Amino acid sequence: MFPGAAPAMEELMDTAGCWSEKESKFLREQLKRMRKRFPQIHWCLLSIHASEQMSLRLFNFWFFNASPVPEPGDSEKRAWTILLTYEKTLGQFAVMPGYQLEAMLSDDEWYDLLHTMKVSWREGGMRRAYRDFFRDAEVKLVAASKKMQEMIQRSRGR
Amino acid sequence: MSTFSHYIAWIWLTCALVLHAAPSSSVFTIPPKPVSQVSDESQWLSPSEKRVWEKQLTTWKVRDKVEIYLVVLKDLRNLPAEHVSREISHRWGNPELCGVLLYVIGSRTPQVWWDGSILEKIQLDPRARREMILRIEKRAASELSELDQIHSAAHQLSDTMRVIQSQWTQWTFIRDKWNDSLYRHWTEERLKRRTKLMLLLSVSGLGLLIAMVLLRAYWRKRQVFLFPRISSRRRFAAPYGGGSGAVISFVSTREPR
Repeated sequence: MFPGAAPAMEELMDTAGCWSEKESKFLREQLKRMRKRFPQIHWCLLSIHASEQMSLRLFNFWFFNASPVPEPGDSEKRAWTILLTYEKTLGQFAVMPGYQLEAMLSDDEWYDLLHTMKVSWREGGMRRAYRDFFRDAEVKLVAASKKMQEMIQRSRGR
Repeated sequence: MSTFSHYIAWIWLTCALVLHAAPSSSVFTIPPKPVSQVSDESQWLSPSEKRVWEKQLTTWKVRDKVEIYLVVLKDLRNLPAEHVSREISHRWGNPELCGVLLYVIGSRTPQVWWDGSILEKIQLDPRARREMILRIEKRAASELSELDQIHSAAHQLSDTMRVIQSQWTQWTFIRDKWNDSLYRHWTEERLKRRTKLMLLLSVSGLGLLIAMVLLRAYWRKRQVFLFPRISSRRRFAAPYGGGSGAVISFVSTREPR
């Protein structure tokens, strides 16, 4: 899959060759929109083609931490990153947030998002799956942000 | 004694004067309103003449709305004819326009009088009215017999009043027409203005609403959401992420595309 070390993380990493140029453009637009809404959050959309049985969760954990950080300042960015991986062979999706975002959405919420994606994929294909994922993720992240802001306000009020 | 006789004589004289003066100073009373438009208590007119006049005056009244009373009196008790005519007109006639042809038996000519609120409405000069009356009386006086004089005066009076009546009719017609057209014009103008105003307000309100909705949508779209920085504990000595998240496998393992 990655001969040697893990590559540096980028926004769009289609190592399995799943996305056409049009789809890549669509995904970049979605990421751009999400960046505008949540300027702190960085995204990495990854597609892989696993040659053997492997745990996608474990792969995500490894890649997330093993992928080199080009600049020293980027290590801070990595903790604000969400990695969404598509494994082509078994048809799996896995999502993993950095430390800073762990508290914002629970594992169950991430699971819900992936489930939505799965349903949308069946109904309308990959493009629709990613679109619905980002749409619902936006809703959940907005709610999480508001909730956090309210908690901060309340704690200041005390 | 002489004083007493003088006193008695003075009382007698006073009573005699009063008794003598009583008939001549009796109050003149206007005769009651006749059933027709001819009042002739002294029956100076013959029954046939009276019927002719009644018919004629009724015709004028019904057809031309010209109301004239022919009144024949024995005397006026020194009252001015104009005053008597005015009183008769006020009591019997139409307050808008009424004419009185007063003939005192034995007088030279019949007295003509007409008046009414119409004159003020059409703004007829009182001098012109007086002039008309004098002309009618003068022309009537040129007739030989009393009946011919009455006939002449009545016809001239009816003609004059008919002209006045038609003037008033025309005046009201023009006034109503003018008022109607003016009212319609004003109403239309007001409606137009009101419609324009309502339209302007509606469009403005709708525009404002749309602008607000768009602004809100734009603002919401542009709204940025931030998260607080938290201190997290490393797990498995991992520097960036502790392996939380989720994994899902699609039921179908066939190629998505």
